[in-house]
Amino acid sequence: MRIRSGKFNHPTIAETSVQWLLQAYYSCMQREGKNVFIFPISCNYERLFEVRNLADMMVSRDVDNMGLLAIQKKFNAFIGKKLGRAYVKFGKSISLRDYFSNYEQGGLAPAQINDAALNLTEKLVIENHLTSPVFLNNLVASLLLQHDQRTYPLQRLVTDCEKLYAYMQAREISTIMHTAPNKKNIERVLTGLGYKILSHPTDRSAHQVVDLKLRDNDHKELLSLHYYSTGLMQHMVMDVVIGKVLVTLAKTK
Amino acid sequence: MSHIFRNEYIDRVNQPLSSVLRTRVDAITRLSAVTFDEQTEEVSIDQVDNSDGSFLLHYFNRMGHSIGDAYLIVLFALEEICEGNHVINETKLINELHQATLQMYHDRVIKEMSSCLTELL
Repeated sequence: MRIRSGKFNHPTIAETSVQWLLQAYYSCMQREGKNVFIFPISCNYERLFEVRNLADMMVSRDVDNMGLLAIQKKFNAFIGKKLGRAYVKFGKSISLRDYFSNYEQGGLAPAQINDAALNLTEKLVIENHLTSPVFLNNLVASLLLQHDQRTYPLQRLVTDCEKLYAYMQAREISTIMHTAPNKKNIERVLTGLGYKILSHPTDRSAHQVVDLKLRDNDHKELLSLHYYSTGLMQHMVMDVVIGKVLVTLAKTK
Repeated sequence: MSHIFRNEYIDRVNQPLSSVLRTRVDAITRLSAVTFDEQTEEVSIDQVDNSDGSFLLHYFNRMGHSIGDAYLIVLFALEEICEGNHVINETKLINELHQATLQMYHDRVIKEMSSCLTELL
């Protein structure tokens, strides 16, 4: 359901643990009048390490399973040796009794367990998707990916991030950013992603630009940006459709 | 198009498509040079150049390039397979498409390298 790139897919089969839980609920608890509450907990992090590995694998076509030592070795060689920030979100509790009250005779029947488990799995996956926050590195990566030039003026990048942030607020997309992105935060993200900020030799504040040589010269870096922007894309699929249709129509007029 | 893209990610799957699209159009109109007429239900764009007003539209348009191209490539391949009545192993097909898409990117036929990702194909 959630592949390594961080993208969520539709569940087609029920999660085994959910199936077992429902079987236990049906066979014992429901008859005894007991209830079960599920508390969805969504764990998310900036995925800096995974994205690098994934892009590395895609470019090198080396898909060997990595052991603990190999991961440790890669981690030691990782830029800054930091894995990014992690966030935990607690969702609303789900009462199994209430959830299945619409089923026949107000309870769960044995023939319905598989269907019910799939329904509940889907609900939990959607909950996980909706609570998966957008990080600032998702915004920055998607903008760096789209920029056509070799350099990106830092001030313009800040403004573009602010515009996207305003849109996310309007759309009520889950994010860990409580305020609009500022220059300092964006500089931190750029450093984490491995990008350099070039300054004018005499006037540092006036002509700061982000050097995109890294993206243009290395396929791995290009794919990394794509994987980071997936975090944002999965919240904006329909917006993408609307943008694509409107721009295409406007161009054909 | 929205039906295809909708299956690409989990995005408010339980809501009717029309209401999802409507909420997104509302959000876009608030922050860009797009207006929505409630009476005629028509969307009009005031600016399509790269000005501030159309930033979001261009951003979304560009964001969808990789998926759009990947779908087109797969559809063309499937059309050829169906016409020739071929039977091809799925893994082999995806690997071949990956290589072909990568080549298309190097030949500047497609804009985004990410269209070649096997998981997308």
